[in-house]
Amino acid sequence: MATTMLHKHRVSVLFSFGRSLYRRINVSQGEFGLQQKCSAYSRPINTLSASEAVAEIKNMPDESRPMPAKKPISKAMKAYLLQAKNYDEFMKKQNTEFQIGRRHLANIMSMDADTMTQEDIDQAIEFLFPSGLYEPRARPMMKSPELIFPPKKAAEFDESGRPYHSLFYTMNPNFYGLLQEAVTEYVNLNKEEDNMIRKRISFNSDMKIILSGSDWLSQEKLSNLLIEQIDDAQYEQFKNVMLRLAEHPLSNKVKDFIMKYRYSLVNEAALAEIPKPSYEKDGRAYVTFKGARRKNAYADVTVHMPGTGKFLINDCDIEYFQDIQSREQITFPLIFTALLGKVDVTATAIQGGTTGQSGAVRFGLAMALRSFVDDKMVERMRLAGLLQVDWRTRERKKPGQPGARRKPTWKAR
Amino acid sequence: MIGKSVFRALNGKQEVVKRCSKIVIRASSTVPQMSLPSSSENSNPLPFFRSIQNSPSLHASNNSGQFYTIDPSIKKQLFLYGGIPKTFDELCNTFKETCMMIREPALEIMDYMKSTNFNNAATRYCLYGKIGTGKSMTMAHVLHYGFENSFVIVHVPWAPYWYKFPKEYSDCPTKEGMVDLPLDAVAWLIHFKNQNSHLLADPNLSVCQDWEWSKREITKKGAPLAEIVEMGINRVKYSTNCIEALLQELKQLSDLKRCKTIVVIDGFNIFFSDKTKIKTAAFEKIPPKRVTITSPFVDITKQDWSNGAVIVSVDDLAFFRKDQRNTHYPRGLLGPEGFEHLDPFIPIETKNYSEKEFHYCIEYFLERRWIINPHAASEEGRKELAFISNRNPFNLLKVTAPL
Repeated sequence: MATTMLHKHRVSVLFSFGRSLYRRINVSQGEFGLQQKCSAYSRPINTLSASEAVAEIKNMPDESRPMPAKKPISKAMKAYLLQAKNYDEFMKKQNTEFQIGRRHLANIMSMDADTMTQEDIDQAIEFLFPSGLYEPRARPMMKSPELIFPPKKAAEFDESGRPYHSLFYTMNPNFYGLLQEAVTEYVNLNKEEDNMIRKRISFNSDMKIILSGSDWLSQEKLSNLLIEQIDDAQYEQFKNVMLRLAEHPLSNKVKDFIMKYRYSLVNEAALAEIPKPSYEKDGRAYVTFKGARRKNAYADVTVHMPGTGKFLINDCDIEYFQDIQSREQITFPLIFTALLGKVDVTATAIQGGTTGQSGAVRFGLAMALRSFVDDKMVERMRLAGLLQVDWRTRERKKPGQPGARRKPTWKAR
Repeated sequence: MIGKSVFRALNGKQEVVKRCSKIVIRASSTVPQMSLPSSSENSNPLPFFRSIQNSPSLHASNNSGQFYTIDPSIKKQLFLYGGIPKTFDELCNTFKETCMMIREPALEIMDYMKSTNFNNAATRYCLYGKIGTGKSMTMAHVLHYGFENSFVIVHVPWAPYWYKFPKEYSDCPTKEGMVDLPLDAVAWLIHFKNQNSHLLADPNLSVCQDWEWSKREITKKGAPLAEIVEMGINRVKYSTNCIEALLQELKQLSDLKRCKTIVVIDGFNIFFSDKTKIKTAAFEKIPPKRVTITSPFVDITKQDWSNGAVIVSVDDLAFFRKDQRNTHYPRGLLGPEGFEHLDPFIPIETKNYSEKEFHYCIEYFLERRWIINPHAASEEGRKELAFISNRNPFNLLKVTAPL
């Protein structure tokens, strides 16, 4: 009975807190919490996994029946094992329900339950329960329980209740572990520096790491990486320590370690894939960039090389845009790459207004022109902001006020 | 924009076209007070973009693209009450001269007119083309040609003015359901008198029949044509009737070979529109055909007379904004009724500048210091200007205004 109560309690907690659930484990000698996010449970830690723990729980001594004396299990471990068992049962039940629901849905929609994908389910739910709610997560959904209930973290301590990690009682073992690692590296570098001075080896700038083009991970990203809540002071501490390491004259030797906690400012993957031009029957090279966007407009742009400077948008010349600004937008990539009059451009733009369409064509044109210029120019185009999608869109109007941000005029009475 | 500023910083050179304000014409006060070289005063040989011939009769295809100067006195006589676009007129004030480019459509019309057999019915030319390509300027050029060759000029500078911005309107006393535009009619008569002041004294131009305006006011057969004009100007009430009589007389006189007549009407398609701003006493908006001033001008574009030429232009801008048809072809703009009326005619298209015309125009702008930015004169600058303006004459003017 107690088990089911606990079970119910757990479920209700799960529903009420969702992802940001904090789990607490009671230990006989007072109470301490593992202040961790559930989503972080998947991190591989050198401990028992949940399934192993469940296997173990089957061999657990039944308290009602006396058994031969065995290695004592700490209360913390017992509580953990019990909860692991409950969790597994709960997930099993949820999974069965999901499978039944899935078959029902397949019947309703006259689809094949075996080949039904999650995408089909989403579409069916949207069709059967149309919702006008603004927040997508608030709308009705039907997903595999693994996607809704976060996986559970394995135990961080052994049967006797002794933690595996030496920094367990700092409550942020991974974070302080990282700091300790950084300091260790720093000390090692210092030793090497001493050696070099002793051997009279000169230093050069190549030995120091170059930090331009990348930045430290944000507080949130670092939190996710370490699976620990990191507060502002700790983040500040992290940056100071890492910066000190990076400023060491030999810091290039620990480049891999430092770069693990930095991210590149350039989307290298996107830039690296410059398409090779295709060829028409008459031997002209051409490149098409599809789906360029700005505001609500979309554009497909094809560039032909060599050309005579023809420009066609939606089967109309540049006078398609009546205002000069839009025309300038389109001209900019061509002038920048000095290809004005040397390529032919054909574009189709849909939706949106003048600014949106011209912006979309500009971006598509710049992306397509990459294939006809050298790497140096591509880098210059990137720096000029030509290869950057402008994601800004119109902000929605809010109810109860006249605009997105504007409030009604204040009147005394 | 971030991109632009970075570009400037990187490239180290300025972009040629900057954002252009909506005010196209630079106020004269902003122009540096320097003496613009006048073509007549200049003792040096004319630059290549200027034509030696200032007489339209002598213009030939080798002058195409060059600029010719209109004498101020002629300009005053021909275009005092309209006839050249306002933007161009203001530009002329800035440049201190009236210089027009000699372009293909005008040369074509003048070429046809030179080889026309004037014994046949009046030839009709219909100018069409996109906005800003030079329909009105072509008409002005041809008008100058007609003026030089002693044609009697029947010129409507912009027909839609009558229907869009009528000065005053009243119900016609003689024809039921029709509306008079007395002041506009008088204004047009003054325009006519001004343009043909050198011809109206000609004794050949005498009235062919009696015109009875009222019991006491009668223009007798044999009286000079100017009498009808004066009558209309002095007696506002009969101004529209006078126009009707005048145009009928001109048709007859032309038929009798006593004069040659050139009819030039800009925005002709408004006559076949179904909407005006003019209201009757019952507050209903009436179509142009119920305005008395329409019928004489529609009538004179018929082919039932000889020894003359009719040049009309069709323009999408002639319509009210709501009714604009997004086309520049005569078939779409005239509608079935108008097209049937005008058919057969010689269609003449005005186009954007050719490569040569574009460069001549830039050279002219540089000479007049309309373009001061040195980058605009460079090859890249010209390329950019050509691309952005699409070599459209009006667009080019707009784009170069802030340079």
